[in-house]
Order: sequence, then C-alpha cells, then structure tokens
Amino acid sequence: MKEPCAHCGEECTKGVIAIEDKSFCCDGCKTVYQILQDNDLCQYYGEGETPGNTVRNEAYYDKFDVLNDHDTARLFTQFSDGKIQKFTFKIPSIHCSSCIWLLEHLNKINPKIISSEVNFQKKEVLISCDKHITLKDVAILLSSIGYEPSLNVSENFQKKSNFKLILKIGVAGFCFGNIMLFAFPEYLGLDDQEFSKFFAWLSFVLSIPTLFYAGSDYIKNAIDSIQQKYVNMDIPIALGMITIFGRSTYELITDIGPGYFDSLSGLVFFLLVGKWFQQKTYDTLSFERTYKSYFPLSVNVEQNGIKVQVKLESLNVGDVVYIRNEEIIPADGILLSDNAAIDYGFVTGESDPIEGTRQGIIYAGGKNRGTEIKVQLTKKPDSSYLTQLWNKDDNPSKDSVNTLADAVSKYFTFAVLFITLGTLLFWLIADPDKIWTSVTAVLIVACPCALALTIPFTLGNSIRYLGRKAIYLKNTFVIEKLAKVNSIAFDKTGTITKLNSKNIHYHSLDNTSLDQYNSIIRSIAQNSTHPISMSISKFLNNSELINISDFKEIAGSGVEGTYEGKRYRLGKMNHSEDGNVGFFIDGSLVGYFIIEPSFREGVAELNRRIDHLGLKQHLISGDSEREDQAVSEMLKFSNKKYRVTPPEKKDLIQSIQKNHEIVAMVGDGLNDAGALSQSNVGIAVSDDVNYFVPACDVIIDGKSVKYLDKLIRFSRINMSIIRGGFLLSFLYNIVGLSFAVSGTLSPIIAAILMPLSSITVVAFTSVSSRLAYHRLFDKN
Amino acid sequence: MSIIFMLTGVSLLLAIGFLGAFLWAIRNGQYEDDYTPSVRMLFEDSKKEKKSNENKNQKQ
Repeated sequence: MKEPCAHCGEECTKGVIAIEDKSFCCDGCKTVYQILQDNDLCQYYGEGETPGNTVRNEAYYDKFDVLNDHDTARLFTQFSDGKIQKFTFKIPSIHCSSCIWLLEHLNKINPKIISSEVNFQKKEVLISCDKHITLKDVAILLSSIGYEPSLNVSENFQKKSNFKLILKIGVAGFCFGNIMLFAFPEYLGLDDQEFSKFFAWLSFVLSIPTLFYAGSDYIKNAIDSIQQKYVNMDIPIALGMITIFGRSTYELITDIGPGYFDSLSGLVFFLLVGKWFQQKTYDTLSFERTYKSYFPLSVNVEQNGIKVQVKLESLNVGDVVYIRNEEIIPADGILLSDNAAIDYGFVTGESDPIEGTRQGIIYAGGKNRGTEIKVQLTKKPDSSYLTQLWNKDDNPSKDSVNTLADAVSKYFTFAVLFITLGTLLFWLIADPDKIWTSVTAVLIVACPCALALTIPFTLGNSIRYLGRKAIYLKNTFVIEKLAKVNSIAFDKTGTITKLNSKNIHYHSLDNTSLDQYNSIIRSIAQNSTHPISMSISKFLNNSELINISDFKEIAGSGVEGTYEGKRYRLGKMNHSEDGNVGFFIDGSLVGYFIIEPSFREGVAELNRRIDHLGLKQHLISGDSEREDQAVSEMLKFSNKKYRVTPPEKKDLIQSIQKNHEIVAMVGDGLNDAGALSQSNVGIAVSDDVNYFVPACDVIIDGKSVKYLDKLIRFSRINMSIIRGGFLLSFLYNIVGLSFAVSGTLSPIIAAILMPLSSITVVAFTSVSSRLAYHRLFDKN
Repeated sequence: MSIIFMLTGVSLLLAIGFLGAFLWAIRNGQYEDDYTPSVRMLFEDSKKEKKSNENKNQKQ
C-alpha cells in the first residue's frame, strides 16, 4: 500500500515528495499545499480528509489570455463600475465542503479579491474584486490551487430556472389559502347575508390575480393552440377557468350566491404545483451541448510572425494555428509540423493515437498529444467534418413523437365540447331557463385538473427517483419515449467497456516471472503517452521506478530503453494478434502481455436481461475488430458493426429506424453525438457527469449502466400508472358531469369534487411510482 | 360584529405583507442555492484569522 497524498488523497504511485511530515504525489499537489500554508489556509485539510484536486497537467495559463479580451470578459462579468467588478466562473471540480471553504477564502491569498461566494449545486463561484486584478489573474490563481475555471461560455449561461413559476405559485397559493378561509363559513352554513357577501367580494378580488397573473400561461397557451389549430389539454383548462370566473362573477353581481372562486383558485394552485413538480432540472448538467462546448474559446494564431489569441468564431480558412499538448484541434487543417500524435478517441472511439505527418490532413475534435503542433486550417470550425454532425441534427423524428397526453387531451376536448353542445340542446328544448347554469357547470366540471396532474406527478416523481441512481433525464417526455423503445444500440469503447482501464495478463515464454522485470517494464512504459503503455504502467504501479537510459519511442512499433547494459523493448510482436504486447530483451521475445477490454460491471447480466425483455440489441463501434472475441464471449448482439465512422453511426441508426424499430442509442463520446441525436432516445454514459457529455436525452453514470433494463421497465410501468391515473380522473369527471348535465351542481359539490379528484390522483400516482421504484431498484 | 369586517381587512393586509416578503425573497435569489449556506454557517475561522492578523501586526 502506497502512502496517500496529503493533498489529493490519491496513492503516490510515482514516488513521494515530502515536506515536513506530509507527503505528496506530485509537484502540483505540493505547490497547492505550500500556497495554502503560506496563506494560513491549511484548515482546508481539516474540513474533509484530503479534499484537493490533483493538479496533474502542467497548467497552461496562456489559455486564459482570452479573458483579457473585453468582449469575452463581459460574458463572465455581472457587474463592473470601474472600482469593483463581479464575475462568475464555473468550476467543475468543486466537490465538497472544503472546496467551498477554500474558494470563499480567496481574499486571504490575494487581498485584491474582496469576496467570493460559491454556489455548490451550480458549481459556480461569484467573485468580487477591485479593478487592479484582471479576470485572467483570478483564473490563474484558481487554477494554481486546483480549481480550474471552465471557459466554455455556452455552459456559463444557464437560464434562470423556474423563477417566474415560483412567483406564480406564491401568488396562487396565497390567494387560494385566503379564499378558502373566506369560503369556510359558507361551507358550514353561514346565514348572515352581510358577511357572506363581504367574503364573496373579497374572494372575487383575490381571484383576479389568480386567474390573470398566476393562470395566465394556460389562457395564453390555449389561445396559441387554437390559432395553430392544434388541440391540447390547455384548451379545456382555460375554458373551465374562464367559465368559472365568469359565472361566479355573474352570480356575485346578481346576488345568486358566492360563486366558485374557491374551486378556481384551488385549480390554478394545484396545476401550477404540478407544473413545478414536473420541471425537475439538474442545474449542473447540460443536455444541450454544441460542438463549441468541447472546443477552446480561442486559439493561438500566427499573424505576421507573432502568436495572437483569436476567438473561435473569427478563425478563417488559411490561418496558421498552434495547438499545444492536450488541446483540441478546432477545425480541419493541414499539419505543418513534422509529425504529431493525435488522439481521435473522442471522435471515433478508436483509442490509439493516430500519427500525423507533415502535410497530412488532421480533423477537428482530435486532441494533440505531445509537443506543440502547427496547423493550417482548411475549413472554418463550424464547417468541419465533425461539427457538421452537430449542425445536421435538425431531425424531425424526435419532435413528431405523439405523446400520450396529446392524444388523450384531443379526445377529451372533443368529448367535452360534444357534451356541452348536447346539454345545451337538451335544455333548450326541456327548460331554457336552465341553459346557462347547466352549460357552465359542464365546462367547470370538465376542467381536466386531475387529468393534467397525472403526468407531472407520476413522471416528476420518477425523474427524482432515477436521479438517486445517477440516471438523469432531460425532461419527463423522455420516460414516455423510453417506454416505447424496442431496440437498443450500444457503442463499445467507453460504454460497455471502460475507457481507460484494461484487463492485463502477462504470459511468460521462458519461465521467468514478471516480478523480475516489472520495475524495468514500468519505467519504460511510463515514459510514453500511448494508451497501451499507460495501461501497462498503471498495471505495474506497485513496482519501483528505476533510471532507464537511451529511452526511445518508435511510432507505431513500441518503446525501448537500456538498463544495466541490456536493451529492453515493449511493443509489437511479429505475426501476433492485435492487442498483445511483446516484451523483448536484446531483441529476443521473453513474454507478452495480453490486453483485454475491461467490461463495465454487470454488463453481461444486463445483456441477458435486455434479451429477456425481448429488445433487439445492436453493437455499433468505431473501434477495430480486435476485441470482438472478448465481446462475443460475453455478450449477445443481434447485429455487430465495427470500424464505423461517426456519420455512418448516424446512418446506421436511421436504417434501424426504417426497420420500424424505436431505438435508444447508448454512447459516450463525441463520436456518438450524431447517433445520439438521431436515435429516438439518446443515452449518454459518463464516468463524470459534470464533464464531457454529448447532447442527449439521458445522462447515465458509468456505474448505473447495469440498470438500463430496469430504466426501460420502470418507464413502461410509469406509462401504465399514468393510464390508471387517467382512468381515475375520468371517473370523477363522469360523476361531476352527471351533476352538471342535470343542472344540480352546487358550489359546495364543485368545491369538494375538484380538490378531491386532484388529491386522489396525486396520491395514487405518487404512491404507485414509488412502489414501482422500490420493487425494481431496491430489491436484490 | 362589525369589528370582524375590520379585522378581516387587517388580517388580509398582514397576509399581503407576507406575500410581499416572499416575492421579495424569491426575486432576491434566496432560493437559488439551498445547499451552500448550510455548509458555510459551520465554518469556524475567527480564531485563526485573529492569530494571523496578530502575526502580521507583529511583523509590521
């Protein structure tokens, strides 16, 4: 067991750097510790155990240059008056209470910062400072203590959540409560005419803001949908609300009775609460990402021989840009440096870096691994190979999904209008005096409050439950789409296998054990950034590091080094299968590593269970066939495709859809982005949901992939619950309508029936979705 | 009995006052972040701050 780093808590695998009694895994962590120590901020470590973030990469502070640009800086700035400026940074690495503590004590490190305030859920920090310090300085300060701000502007603009809705709920709740108080004497049989009139007028006054402020959205939506000749649930709701208000006002003026203001305010209040319940949002997650979220805000461009920071939008064809190590290439171009290693893992799913040569074409989305390269752009960022995938996602297949609510409300609305008309005709013949009361009563009772609450409460609950299992849905409609899914397409790398971890075995050819060589192998492998070398070095991380001389990395072949006079090489073997790495001493093979993909936990069982559910399963991988055997042994697919490019993935999904399959795509990288948006439900898998996730409908934590079948079953059960809720509210409507049609609906019956129906429906849906969740997810 | 008319009015005014306070709180962003303040109030740093101030004073 290695000693954990006193700053970040990770094992010190590369040797220990010690100061005083503390040990650190790297210089980065040590530096952060020293900064904190110098500023008397070591209390940071007392709050949690080892809360720090590893500062592993040598930080490239040049990228913050863009913050010196006035327009860019304005995107982050909330307020500036020449003396004080306030701005917000998004910091994805905020994760515990120590983070909050440290980030709120920034003024101790730099007194020019006046104050800083963390919003933990949004992972944001609001910084106020004086004019002598720039945004760039603050960004560098944050990075130097392990909290690098994200410069992706698109993510820095999250709309104010449901601010307006909460205001409306507040107003409606206030009016509802007071109107109920005024209505009680009436319920209990108040005889005093004076009081009852006074209370009725007060109710009238309070119901004005209820209807015209709190309920205004329903009326607006109803008018909109009539104009667009589209029937939805808002029409009977708005019709009911206006009728209640109109009839009650009329009754009040003509001294007939107190009206139905209590029912009206209750209706609006419950509906708004339902709406709010449905709008569960995950503040820190972003489901709508464009390619820009992945690219740097600006790049270094050569202009007249000097490097200038240029914003992404202003890049032009022909510009010569510099891409540093670990930076993403913003647009397609021609390589001007002699060679480069570019990792397209995010674009293609293929995990090995591609070697680029001078004058070769390199594509946007690749990550530079190695020294700085020079690239001449041949396309603008928004018309590059990869970004076009994003731009093309104006596909109709997603929006045209008819939701159950739409279908039901269409029939419902027509039925209501039909019954109203029937009542009108009947009383016209039987007793014209009763037309007004009975027709309005029909419209009042038919107001589908309970119906409208069924979906928000069922699905709102479900979204919250799924969140506990680290399954995050974009909105409630996704559940409905999930319930219809009859086919699932999987990406391989990063989805069913883990991205950066492999199963490694060593096979010896000369009966020597690996223990003899593991220090040498690790020391050689450790010098290379090639993923295979990195996984071998990780596999051997318990062995000592030694000094290797004459280290050499031969592109596409392997790595070698000399130790105590012998030449050791790790690399390709002749006539060998892909994926195996040979170990040579002085040119002769002594053994080899078998490198297999490491599957996510529970994938094999998941595969079986999905099969059991009767869903088709497809495998669509951008990787080569070399892991096919391992995959086939464990998993069953009706269809497997390898070496699929990102656009082909999208086309494949399309052809599956043409086959009348409703398909959910499960993928992780940018290479799946097109397929995710083409599929009926895009499910993005991520090991850290706060970082890179392509645009999708569902974000699922890597550990929860095994619940995929349960997610689908849960969605199906939810749809049944909704149907049950609909049935229940129809029953109430029928009872109410029977009163209304016969012209005997009194305010008190309305006042009992409407809340009662809402409450039973809410109770039924909440309890059943809760039971369904426990049965599916908590047992076994 | 006429006092009830007045009391009702007064109570309603009072309630409107509370509604106003609620709306103000929302507009002011008090419900924006319901986690961080619960952590912030447990930070205890007055002692150390004093010490460091003293140190600085001594140095000066």
